[in-house]
Amino acid sequence: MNETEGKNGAGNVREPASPAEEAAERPYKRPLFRRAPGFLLLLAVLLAVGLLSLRYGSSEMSWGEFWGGLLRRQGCETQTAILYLLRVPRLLEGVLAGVGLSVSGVLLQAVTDNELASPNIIGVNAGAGFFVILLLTLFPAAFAALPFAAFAGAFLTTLLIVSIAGRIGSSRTTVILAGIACTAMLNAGISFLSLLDTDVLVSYNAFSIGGFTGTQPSRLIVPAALILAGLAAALAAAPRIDLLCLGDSMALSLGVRVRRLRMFCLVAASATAAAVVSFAGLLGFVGLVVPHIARKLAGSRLRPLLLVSALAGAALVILADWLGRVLFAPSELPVGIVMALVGAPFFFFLLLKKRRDAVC
Amino acid sequence: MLNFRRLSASYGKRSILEEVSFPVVPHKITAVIGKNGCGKSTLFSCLNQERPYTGEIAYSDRSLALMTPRERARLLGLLPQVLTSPPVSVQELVAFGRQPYLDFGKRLAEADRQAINEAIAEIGLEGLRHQRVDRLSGGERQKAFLAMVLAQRTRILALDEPTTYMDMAYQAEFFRLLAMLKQKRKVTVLLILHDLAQALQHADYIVLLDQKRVAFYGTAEECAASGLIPAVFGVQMHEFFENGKRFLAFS
Repeated sequence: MNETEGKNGAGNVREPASPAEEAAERPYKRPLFRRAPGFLLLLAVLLAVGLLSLRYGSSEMSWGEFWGGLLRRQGCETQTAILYLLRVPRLLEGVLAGVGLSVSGVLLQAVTDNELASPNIIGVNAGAGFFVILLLTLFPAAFAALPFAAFAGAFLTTLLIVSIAGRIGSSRTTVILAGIACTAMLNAGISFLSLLDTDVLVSYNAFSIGGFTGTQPSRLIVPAALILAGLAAALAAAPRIDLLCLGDSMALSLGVRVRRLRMFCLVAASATAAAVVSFAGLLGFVGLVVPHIARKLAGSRLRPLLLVSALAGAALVILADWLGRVLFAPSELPVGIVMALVGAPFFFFLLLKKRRDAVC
Repeated sequence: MLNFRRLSASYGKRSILEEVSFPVVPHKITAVIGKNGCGKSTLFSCLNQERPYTGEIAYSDRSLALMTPRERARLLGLLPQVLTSPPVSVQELVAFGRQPYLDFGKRLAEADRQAINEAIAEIGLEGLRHQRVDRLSGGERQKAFLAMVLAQRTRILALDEPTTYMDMAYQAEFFRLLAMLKQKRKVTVLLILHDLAQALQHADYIVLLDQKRVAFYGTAEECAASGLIPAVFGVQMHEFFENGKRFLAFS
């Protein structure tokens, strides 16, 4: 260090700045993914992934055939059929599943203040699974009713958990404990019913893995309405939900009706997740993994987090579904398995990171 | 004026507070003191409407229990003893203090930003404005939460052990700030304190809780002269003067 370095204008030796002082001197800029350019970038990624998913699949087509099929031009009827009967419906399913499960995961992690929370903890998967296997046991041919059974099971189970938690204080811990208890009970019911009739397991397995079947878009209208309504309600309530991170006492002192808000979040999370279960089955890890990725990009404030989660979730699910279609073409790996292959290692990484952060 | 009237609270069958009554004089500092387990924090929980109680806590003869949470939040700023470590910046945390004034879907207005900036400046947190609260020290975090409560711009401040994690220099600064708020902003302050010397030196009025009831209510001078503090706490009180100021110490 020469004589002029380390001295201020009066020639006195200046103490090295602390990290906080250094940070304060740098002009503050809001993170990219909490501003419009960030959202537009994610939207561009989603559109690119969507285009990839439509363009490439087990049936090959040239770019000319692809655009011809997309624009329904004459001479491209085969491509039109592939796109509009198979790939576009799956794309729509992917978008809705990604948005619905991500929003559900974000709400649950906010309301339980637990980064490991996912739609599973409010009994969505167990409730849907139990009602589906019950329907298949009682009415083996009633496949058309499966979506309704799945939705009813998921949503009613959450309502049960919410009412149990409400009776004993509706704190974050009681919600999680009630969810664990109900899930255990319903999983026992699933095991019991599958033992009674092993044929039912074959139909149930496809549902339990989670995947897209190219449902007619008209059947996605109700789930789409529920998912978008859940997202809109969450965005509107986001400033209040943010206050829950201060603890119940502090949030109450700032005018938040804590119990009511917690119940609202649970119901909204359940409705969006149940809507996804009704057409995609028990698609795991999306609600756990995507909020974590989104939090790294957008921070913990709920409004940007919800938007980034929705966009990132849709992109991730579409990408997972596309990989499942092309990697082993003409065979197909359901998107639930692809998500499990990605999600399980990520989950272990989260656990190890939490332990490392706690030790530090 | 805030009034506690015949307040009783219990945990299950165990009674914590019985028939506690005292006024909180406007534009003055009232300190609640007492031994561990005497019900100070329970009193605070009742004020925040977290704990069921019998009796009444009223402001201008209007029961706090009958107000909506937002009405209470605009009247009463509360800082509990146990603070979380939220993953937000100091500025965002202080901005939370303006939530009771934001209608559904509305953003911060100019008046809100002014309140936030003034609160940050008053507490001396300019250099930490964009730092994450969960990465601050305990004392810095407590200051950030205090700034949030100041940004709430309420007529009454209720603070539960607000100087727990603060060094001596900041404790002195904190009480100077309270005195300024009392005089300039005409704020009424209710403090829960463990430090007897701080309570007797800085508070205008003292509420001494003992055996679930109010053992004393009056001015700090009357409390010091009453002889109750040695009796309740089992300590010796020593008074000395320096530069014309009276100081109290306990042993």
